[in-house]
Amino acid sequence: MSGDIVLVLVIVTALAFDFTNGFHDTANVVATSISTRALSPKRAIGMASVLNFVGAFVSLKVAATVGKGFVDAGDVTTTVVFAGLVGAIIWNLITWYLGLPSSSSHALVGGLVGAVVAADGWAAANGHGLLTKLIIPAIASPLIAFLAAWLAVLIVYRIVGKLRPGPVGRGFRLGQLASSGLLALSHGTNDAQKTMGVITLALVAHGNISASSFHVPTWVVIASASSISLGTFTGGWRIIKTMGSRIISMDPAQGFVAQTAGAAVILVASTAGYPLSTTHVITGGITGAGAGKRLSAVRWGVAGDIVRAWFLTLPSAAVVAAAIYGLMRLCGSGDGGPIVVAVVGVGLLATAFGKRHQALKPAAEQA
Amino acid sequence: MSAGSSLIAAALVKVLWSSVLASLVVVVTFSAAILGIVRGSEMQAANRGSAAFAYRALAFCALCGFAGSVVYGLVLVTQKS
Repeated sequence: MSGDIVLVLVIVTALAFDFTNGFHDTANVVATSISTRALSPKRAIGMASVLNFVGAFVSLKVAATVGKGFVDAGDVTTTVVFAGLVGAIIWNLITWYLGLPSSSSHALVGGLVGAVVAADGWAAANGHGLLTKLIIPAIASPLIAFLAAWLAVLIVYRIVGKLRPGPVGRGFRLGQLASSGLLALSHGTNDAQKTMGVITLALVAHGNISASSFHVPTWVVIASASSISLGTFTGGWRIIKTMGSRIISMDPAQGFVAQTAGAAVILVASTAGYPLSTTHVITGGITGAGAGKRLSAVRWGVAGDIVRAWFLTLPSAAVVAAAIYGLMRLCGSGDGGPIVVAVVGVGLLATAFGKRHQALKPAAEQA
Repeated sequence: MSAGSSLIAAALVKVLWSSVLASLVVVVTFSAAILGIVRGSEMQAANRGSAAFAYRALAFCALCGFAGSVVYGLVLVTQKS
C-alpha cells in the first residue's frame, strides 16, 4: 500500500501535465494553417488532435531518454518523480504568470533532475546525458529548423516566384494539409513521450518494472496519447476565440515551409531520442521562413525569448523541484509529504481559479 | 576529441543534415508540382500542347516524389524507433 498513493498521484499529475502540454501547444501546431486559411479552425484542431494521438505511437526513444537518460532510474523513488513533476508545473505557472519565456519539456527534465539531486546528490544525475541529449539538442534544434526553413523558402521562391500568385497560394494551401498533419504527428511523437518516460520512471521506482529492462507499458502509451490529444482538442476551442490577436503574417508558401521544416526536425530528433521543445523548433521554422522572404521579418524579440528560456528553465525548474522535495521530506519519508503537497497544490489552484473567475465576472456582466 | 564526443557530434550532424534534406526534398517536389500544374494550364490555354504535356508530366512526377518522400520518411521514422 505504501507508495501506491504516490504512484497514483504521479500518474494523474503526469497526465495532467500532458493535457496542459497539448492544450498550450495547439496554437503552435494549428496557427500557421489557420492564418494562411489552409484549414478552418475546426478542421485544423480536429486533425491536430487525431494526429497528436497517432503520433504518440510512432516512437518510444524519447520516452526512454526521459526515463533513463538523465537520472539513474535505480536511485529514483516515486516521491522524487512527484517532486520533479510538481516543480516543473510550478515553474510553468510562475513563467506563465510573469510572462517569462519557458519550455515545458525543459521544465520537466529540470524538475526531475533537481528532485533527484536533492534526494541522492549530484552523482544520481547524468550530466553527460543532460548535456548531449538535452542541452545541445535544445540549442541546436531551433537553429536547424531556422536553417531548413530559410533555405527551403529561398528555393521555393526561385521555383514559383514568377507564377501567378492565385494558383500558387491555392496549391500551397493544399500542401499545408500535409505539412500541418506532419507537424501535429511530430508534436504527438515528441511531447507525449516525455510523459510516458516520467510515468515509466515512476513505475520503475515503485517496482512494477525492472530498471534493467526499461520499457514503456502499452497502457502508458495509450493514456499519454489520449491525454495530449484531449488537451489539443480542448485548447483548440480557446484558440479559435483568440486567433485574431495571434495571427502570424505569412503567405501559404511560407506556412508550408515552416511547418515542413519544423515537422522534419522534430521527427528526425525523435528517432534519435532527443526530447525537444517543440515550441522552440516551430518558432525556429516560422522565423526561418520569414527571414527567407525578408530579413527584417525576423522577430528578434522572439529569438531572444528562446535564448532566455534556454538559460532560465532548466536550472530554475530544478531549484523549484528540489525545494518541493525538501518540503515533502519535512512531512516525513512516507506518503505524507506528497499527499500534503498535492492537497495544498489543488487548494491553491482552486483558489487562484476562483479569484480569476470572480475578477472576470464583473467584466462579463458589463459586456 | 574522445570517441564519445565524436559519436555525439556525429548524431547531431545526422539530425542536422537529415532534417534539412527532408525539408528540402518535400518542399522542392511540392513546389515543382505547383510549377508543373500552373504552367501546364497556361500552356494549354496558349494552345502549346507539347509544352503543356511536359509540364503536366513534371507535375505528376513531382507529386509522386512528394508523396513518396513523405511516406518514405514516415516509414523510416517508425522503423528506427
